[in-house]
Amino acid sequence: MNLQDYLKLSYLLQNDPTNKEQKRAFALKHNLQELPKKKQLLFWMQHHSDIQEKKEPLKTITKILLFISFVCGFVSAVALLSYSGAKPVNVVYFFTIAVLIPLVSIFFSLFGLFFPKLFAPLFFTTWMQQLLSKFFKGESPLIQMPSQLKYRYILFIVQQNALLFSIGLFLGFLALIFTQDIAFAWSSTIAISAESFYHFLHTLAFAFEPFCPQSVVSLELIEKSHYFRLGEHISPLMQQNAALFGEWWRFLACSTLFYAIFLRLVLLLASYLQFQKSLKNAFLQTPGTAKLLRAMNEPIISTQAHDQEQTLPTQKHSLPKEDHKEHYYALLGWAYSKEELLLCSDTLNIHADKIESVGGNKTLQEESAIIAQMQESVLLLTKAWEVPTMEFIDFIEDLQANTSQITIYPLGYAKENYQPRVEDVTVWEAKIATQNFQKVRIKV
Amino acid sequence: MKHPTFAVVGHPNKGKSSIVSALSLDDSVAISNIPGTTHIKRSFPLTVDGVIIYELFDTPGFQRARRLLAWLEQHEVSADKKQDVVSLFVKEHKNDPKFHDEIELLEPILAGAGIIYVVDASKPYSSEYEAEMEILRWCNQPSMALINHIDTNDYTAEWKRALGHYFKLIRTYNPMQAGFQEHTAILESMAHLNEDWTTSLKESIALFKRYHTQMLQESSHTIAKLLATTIHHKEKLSIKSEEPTIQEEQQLIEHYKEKLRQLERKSYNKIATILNHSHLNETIFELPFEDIDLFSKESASIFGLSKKELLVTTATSGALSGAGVDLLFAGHTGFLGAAIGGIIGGVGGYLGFEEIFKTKLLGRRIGQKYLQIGPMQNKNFPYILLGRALFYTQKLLHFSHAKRETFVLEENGKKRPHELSESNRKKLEKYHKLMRSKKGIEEEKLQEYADLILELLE
Repeated sequence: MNLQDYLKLSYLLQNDPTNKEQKRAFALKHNLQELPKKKQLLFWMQHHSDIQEKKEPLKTITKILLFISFVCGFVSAVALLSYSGAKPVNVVYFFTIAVLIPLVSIFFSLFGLFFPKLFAPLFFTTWMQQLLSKFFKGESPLIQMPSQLKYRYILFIVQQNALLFSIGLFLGFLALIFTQDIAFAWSSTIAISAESFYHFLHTLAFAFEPFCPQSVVSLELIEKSHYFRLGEHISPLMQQNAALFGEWWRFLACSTLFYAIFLRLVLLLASYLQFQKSLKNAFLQTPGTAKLLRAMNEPIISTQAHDQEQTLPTQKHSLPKEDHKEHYYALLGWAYSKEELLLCSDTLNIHADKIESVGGNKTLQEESAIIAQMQESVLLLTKAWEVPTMEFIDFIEDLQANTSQITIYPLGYAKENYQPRVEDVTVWEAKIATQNFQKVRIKV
Repeated sequence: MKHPTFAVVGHPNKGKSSIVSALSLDDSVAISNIPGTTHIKRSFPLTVDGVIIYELFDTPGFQRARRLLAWLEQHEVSADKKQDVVSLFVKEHKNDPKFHDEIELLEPILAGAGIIYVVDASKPYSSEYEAEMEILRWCNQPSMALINHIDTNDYTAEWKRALGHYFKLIRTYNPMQAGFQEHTAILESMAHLNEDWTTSLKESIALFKRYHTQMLQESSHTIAKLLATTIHHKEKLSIKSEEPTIQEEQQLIEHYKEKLRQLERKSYNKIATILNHSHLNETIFELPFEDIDLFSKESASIFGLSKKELLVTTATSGALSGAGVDLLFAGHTGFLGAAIGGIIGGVGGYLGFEEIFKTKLLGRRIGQKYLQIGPMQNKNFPYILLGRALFYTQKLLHFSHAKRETFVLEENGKKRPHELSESNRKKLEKYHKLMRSKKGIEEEKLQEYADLILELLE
């Protein structure tokens, strides 16, 4: 997995047109649930590369930077080792670039690598992050990368460039010592004795001395190659030992190889591993990943109806109300027992020649027999809390044939003095009114 | 094997649709007190990845039960042939408009659906139900009775005595008040109707639990996102003169407030959709916290932290940042960093308690001057917003899918509905700080914050 994968995933997630159902269907089709999350994401990426990806110029920029670093290294070597034949080349310059600066930068990079939270703000990586923001637009996945990944990436890129610079420096160095006979010497404004300089160089050589003992410069060479800026000519002593001064190249080559290249390579590897670790974390934390993984792994549970509800249109109708009437030919009770009807008529002071129970568990034949006996006006008691069914409507229809007037009287509970709830009566009125019965009234 | 199916049947207006709505978590079921609202049977399948685990049928109520029973009783057959007679009735009356509702309710039963007979035990038992129960007996399918309570009256005892004659299994279920536990209990009862259905229904119980968790997770993520977007939001206004006028400042503040209100409403709508309360979206724009504006003092006192709580929370958070400095110097600072951080954090939180809006004049140097407001620096605001969102979500979680009345949030006597423990406040503050930062909160941290909200919701 590399940064391009991360950027590609970010881009695909930002521009993915599929919905939750399609993502789940994709996971089921390819049996992705069994795979680890990272593999699921990579598989999804591979199969969604048809989404037009916006190419980031990152790779090109990185390559250009690496080339520039290499050229700079090479040019630096040429500049540092430029030899006219009149004056020896001061090795201190070369040490500064090939050993001292790499050592200092390696030291800071190490801190930056292992203590990112404490040191990141102090380092140039922060400025480089800001620089990146200037180059790439806000919506670029590169800008939206988690800061830790951005930081690790920049640190890694810096190591890459430093290494290329060192390689350029080393190759430049080799090219010059092959093509020119350079006399190396050392010189410094600070009063450094040849012994001290020897000890310093001996210490520097600890890493490569066992492998290449002849690379370590001797005290004698150091003494003889120490030169001073005053005097028009090179001292006769130096001229006599001119052949010796070329011996420095081994030391310079080995120290460049070790300090500028080998140590940098180790640091590059460490920063690469750290970057990979961050990349792996960031890959699973890419904005939209959690949503995608959830969509692919969570079953789609639905409990809802697929078809649309179909309801009958309800219209407001009203029934003629009945005024107070004292006597009816018959008192009928829909789903009331005879005992209940007697109690009702007594309580509500209803006078009727006949009292009959209809509906409820009466058979249709029994009901027909009752209808056959009916005439004049009939008061039909109903339980207001129960809604009228079509069976009740059928009964009214049949009853109309034998009577002059039917008064429907929805009642409430006996314990509430038969007082019905207004909303219950409204339901009765609305339902019966839809039938347009001519002889039906409602008593409220 | 075919999945189990259940037909919810009964007398008109006994709450069949309410029960289906609550059991299927679907608020699109038409519920009305006008009889005959349900005209056509409607299927509510529980599907997992498109595979039906079980299916519920909402059916019209019996309209001509006695007439149907009379027809059936004309055929004198042995018990094992009774279902055939019902099938014959359906076949002969398929196009008879008189028996349209009966055909609609009998069809799924004859196709193998278990019967869930719904009665309303807030109304007294009446003999007119007997014909319906007798017809269902003729159908010879596994059945259970479900006692619903539409009203406050209770006639359960008499209903149980009557239902006992016809049904072996009788359960009570109030769709208006039932929660997840009651829902699960009903599914377990349904599993007992037929041995072959047990596996599917046990699976569906587990699925409902998972579905519930999914809904909670999605809701908590929506809340987390609301907080992150709202706190981090910036509103800008270009100004012409050297210094902004009061009107310009007011205009910017109003825009900012309105934008934040919109973000809150949008998230509430999303939560309503996640929790299958889409019908609320039509009214939700006006109704949640109807008289308590997001920026009102009342909202702050009900949902936000008290001054003391805020002082402790912000001081602890400041001290933690200061401790980082101490750590950097290996404690050589005498833990002065933690102390100073604590004081700065605490004082900042305390002094900014009342102050919600702070505008900044930017671009002075480059000539294009503009006023900016946000990210929200008031430390109490995230708690107000979070408190409101948690309260709203929990209310909605317990709001029955069978309810069709307006959704009103009562604030419990204007008392704080959520008490956040000190440790939770500390955890939350860590994320609020990130949201306020210039960079905003990263995805990983946002997920952690959503997990914390999930804990609070649970």
